[in-house]
Amino acid sequence: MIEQSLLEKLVEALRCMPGVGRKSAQRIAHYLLQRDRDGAKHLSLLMTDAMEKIGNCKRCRNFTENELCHICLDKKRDKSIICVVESPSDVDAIEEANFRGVYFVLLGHLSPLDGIGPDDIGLNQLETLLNDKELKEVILATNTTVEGEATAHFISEMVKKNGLEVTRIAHGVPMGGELEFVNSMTIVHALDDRKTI
Amino acid sequence: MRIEHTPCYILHRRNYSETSLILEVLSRNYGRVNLIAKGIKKNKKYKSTNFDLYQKYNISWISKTELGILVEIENSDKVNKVPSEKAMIGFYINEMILTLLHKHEPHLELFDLYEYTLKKLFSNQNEKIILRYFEKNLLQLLGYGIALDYDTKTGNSILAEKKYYYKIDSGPTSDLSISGDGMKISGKTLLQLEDESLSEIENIIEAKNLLSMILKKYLNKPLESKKLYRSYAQIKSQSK
Ligand SMILES: [Zn+2]
Repeated sequence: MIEQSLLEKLVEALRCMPGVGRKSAQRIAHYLLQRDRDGAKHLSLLMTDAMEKIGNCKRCRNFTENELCHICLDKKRDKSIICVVESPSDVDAIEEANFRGVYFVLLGHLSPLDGIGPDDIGLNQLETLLNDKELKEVILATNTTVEGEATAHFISEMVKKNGLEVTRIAHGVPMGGELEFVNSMTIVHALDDRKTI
Repeated sequence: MRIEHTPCYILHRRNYSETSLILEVLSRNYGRVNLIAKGIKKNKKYKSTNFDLYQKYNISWISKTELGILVEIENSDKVNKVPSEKAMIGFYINEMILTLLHKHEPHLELFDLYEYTLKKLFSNQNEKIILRYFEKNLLQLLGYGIALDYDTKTGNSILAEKKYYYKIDSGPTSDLSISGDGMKISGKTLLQLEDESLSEIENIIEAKNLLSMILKKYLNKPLESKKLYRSYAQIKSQSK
């Protein structure tokens, strides 16, 4: 058997990135070799560093290279509101909406058929946060899939047990969306959650 | 082979890559099949679908290998509104089917049983009863016959006011001196489970014990969804 060339190995390795197939991997490899070897070297060093050092925040489970992430450390943040999300990218999305509370990142959702239970998504850790005297409200911003809903429901019972307020983000028609292209489940929810104006 | 517009429920799904999903599906005409849905974020065809559990879809797929390729999916019915608490119970129903039903065994009646059970569950009927009927019918449809209406030793009909001993391997008998794996059970529970008329709490509990005893024999390990529901019920009982 002929051994793979370095170039072939590079193309193969690039495919570990989401959405990058064989063709794109080839294009990226060729581009970097031809035009930006320095950029690629910098990337490879940074990649090693990041993969070794970035862990999860001890309090909210979001990515950070420190014990606590910058949001948990920020004194100006409102610690009386925790927003529970499924993934770090959900944190980024909510940050853009100027949310001023803090987060808890589940890094998944309840999925018994995959063997993912409450402890696997950090609910034991969330339980300790719920005992915090400063805390008043928990916002459940898990995905609107069946699994996300079930997860939200499970957490809502935990929060109620602690006598705190619990809210679920509204589900409905997206802004700038045209009704005829919205799926029927979304419309069902939008009608259910309609409000008086 | 291309299979066109078959009524299906998705029993389980998981991300395969950033843009693909693997679906474990219960189809009306082809039994359990595994399908891959590719390019779900880019493909406009999938825009109006959520690939949700507990919803009836018409799915078309190409089956060449063990893993079929999904080519079309559309809602086949009005959408089922799923109360979140019931979603958790649905996990149990799905896990039971995935554990007990082999792949590619067509099973029209099982599909109908699944659909019927979901409807009852989401219309807020007592799940403690609905689940027992589901378990009983599932076992019977899959050929694990369970005797409920006759004494397996004498052949006599079960009498409501009598006590029986239900032996796992054979069924109920009025001979209470019998030994072996089994449990004592009232004739009333057996008859009510048979004709689906459970109503009083003591019979519901007895039926539950009977079915979990029988199911234990066929399930190799405790179901994860059952564990999850138990911890949920425990938390709920503590909240005010
Ligand atoms: Zn943090």
